[in-house]
Amino acid sequence: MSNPIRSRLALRSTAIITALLLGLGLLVIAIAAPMIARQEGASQHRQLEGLVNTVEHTAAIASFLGDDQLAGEILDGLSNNATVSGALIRAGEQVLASRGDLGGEETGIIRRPLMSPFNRDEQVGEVVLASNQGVIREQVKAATLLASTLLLLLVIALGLCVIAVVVRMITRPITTISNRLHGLKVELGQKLDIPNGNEQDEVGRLVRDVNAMIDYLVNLLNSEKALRREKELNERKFRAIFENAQSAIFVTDSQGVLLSSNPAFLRLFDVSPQQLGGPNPPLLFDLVGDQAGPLQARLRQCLDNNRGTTVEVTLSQPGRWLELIMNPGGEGTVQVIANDITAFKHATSKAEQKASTDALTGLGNRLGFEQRIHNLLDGDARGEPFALIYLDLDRFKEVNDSHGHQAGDAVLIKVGEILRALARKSDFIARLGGDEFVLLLEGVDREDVCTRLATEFLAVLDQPLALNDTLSVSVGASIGIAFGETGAVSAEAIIAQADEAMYRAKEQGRHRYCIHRPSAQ
Amino acid sequence: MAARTLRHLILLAALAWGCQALADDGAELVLVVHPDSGITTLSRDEAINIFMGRHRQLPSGITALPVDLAPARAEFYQLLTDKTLAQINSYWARLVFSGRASPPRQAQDAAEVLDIVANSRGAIGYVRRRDLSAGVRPLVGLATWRNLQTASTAP
Repeated sequence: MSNPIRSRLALRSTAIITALLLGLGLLVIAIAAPMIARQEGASQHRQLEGLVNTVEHTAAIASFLGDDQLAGEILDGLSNNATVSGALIRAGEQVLASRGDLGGEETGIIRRPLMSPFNRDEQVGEVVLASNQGVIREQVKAATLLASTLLLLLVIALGLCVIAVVVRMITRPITTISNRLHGLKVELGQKLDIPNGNEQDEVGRLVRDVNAMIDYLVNLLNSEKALRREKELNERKFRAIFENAQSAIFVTDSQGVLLSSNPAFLRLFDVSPQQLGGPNPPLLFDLVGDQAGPLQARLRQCLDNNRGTTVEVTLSQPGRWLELIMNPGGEGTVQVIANDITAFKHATSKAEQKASTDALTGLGNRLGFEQRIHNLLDGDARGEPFALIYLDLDRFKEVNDSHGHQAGDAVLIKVGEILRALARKSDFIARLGGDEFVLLLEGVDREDVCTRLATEFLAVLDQPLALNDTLSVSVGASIGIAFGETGAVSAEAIIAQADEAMYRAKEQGRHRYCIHRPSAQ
Repeated sequence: MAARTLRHLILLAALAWGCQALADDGAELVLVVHPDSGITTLSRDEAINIFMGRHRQLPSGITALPVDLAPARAEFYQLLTDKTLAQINSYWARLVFSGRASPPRQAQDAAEVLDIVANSRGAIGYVRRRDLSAGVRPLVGLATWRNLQTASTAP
């Protein structure tokens, strides 16, 4: 808008062409002016020569006769001419007549000898003509000015023609296209029209190119739109799944910063949205209590190996189990699906307990015992001492035979209670089947602990066991004791040792204990 | 130039031959003056100067009075100035207004010429040789000038 010369093609090209033409015109004038002047000067000279030619014959007669009257008339006639400043006719050396000023520049003087009308060889006089150089200069100037003016007019006319042509051929079609482009509703499939008469030229090609580009862009836009719609749909679908999932779904990085999470996550970890959106949002590791360390290690592992993994986490407060399925999410993030498996864990552990418990006595059964001793011996701990006590009731078969199974069961329950009362809380007691019991005393390497326990048990059995108000029975017990250290002995070996010691006690007369000693073997 | 000169030569040769025939016939024009005019001969340039109004006096100083013989005028000026009668008339017409020079007096026949010349000391005229009379002095036949002219132009 600032400068029309810069913003208007027609004006600019016209300005340039006009400037060029003006320059050329001035150059031509500069070269032509002296030529015109010379030409004009020569023309003036020719005119004066012509004047002299006209009067020459009469002037010759005047000179021949010495007729000053006639000579004067001739000079009067000559002097009427504006370019003549002065003239003179001589007869011989004598001046017949003169008019005006002959003292001008020498260049303007024309001399013509006058010959006798009757003898071409005899000079009778002379005519002298002085031209008015000022007038001639004026005329030369006028002629030059006229030529220059015509040239200038030509330049101006040419400039106007160029403007007209440029406006007609270039600017107007471009402006038309530009205006149409401004008002074009491309999204409705509108196209540019080619201005009339420009179908075959560059303007037409430009319009066709623009249309092709519009086509291309519209197609691109439509496919983009379709893609975006599809993506939106998918996103909404996934968002719904994410939002409504009962599993907690969240994304975290290796530092435990929570990048995104769903409502189930908030419920699972008991976090309020305000907390999460607040200035100091909790880290994942803040929410898992003492499990932070192991969890962070597993998180790192998942990222380092770039492989999914599943972790179970126990929250001591409020005592829940969580299962975290972690998958690397790219760029250092981990996607986690967390489920509360507390109920499942409880059910499992109840089932496990049920399987490893003797239903009659509430003590462990054979399976429970085997699990316990394998857990102890297959673990990582080394050099942890422990004691194994095998116990078999004497005369139990008689109770069963004489008082029935119920009495037998009552005896077994009673024995279980006695053992539970005698043993430490941490000691494991199991009934292996029938009237066979076992005690696993972890951390015990002192003989006296075991012998005291055995002695006390035997002492209890010295008294008859009151099964109910009316019935009391007497049973004894044979006890075998073996000692071992974790990592130094297998479960089978220690069981065999305790069993062997128990049979020794039976052989030695029952109701006593025997200790397995490595040296005794 | 050469071609023009050649043409003149042929023309003049023919004229010379014709005049010779006239001369024999007594038809040659002869300049005549008063016996007391003081001149016995006249050059062609002197004749031109007198008859064309340039000189007003005869070489002897007497005021000249040229006389034309009207019937022979064309022939005379042709021989004297090599110009037609129309050219001569035009010459005099230019001088009418200045009044400085005037054309010769016109005589209608040879007798009138002879009469004027015989009665005026400064008069000068021309008649055919056969019309000459005792009262005038014949100067020169114009054929002579023609021969002179032929001789002078010949080279």
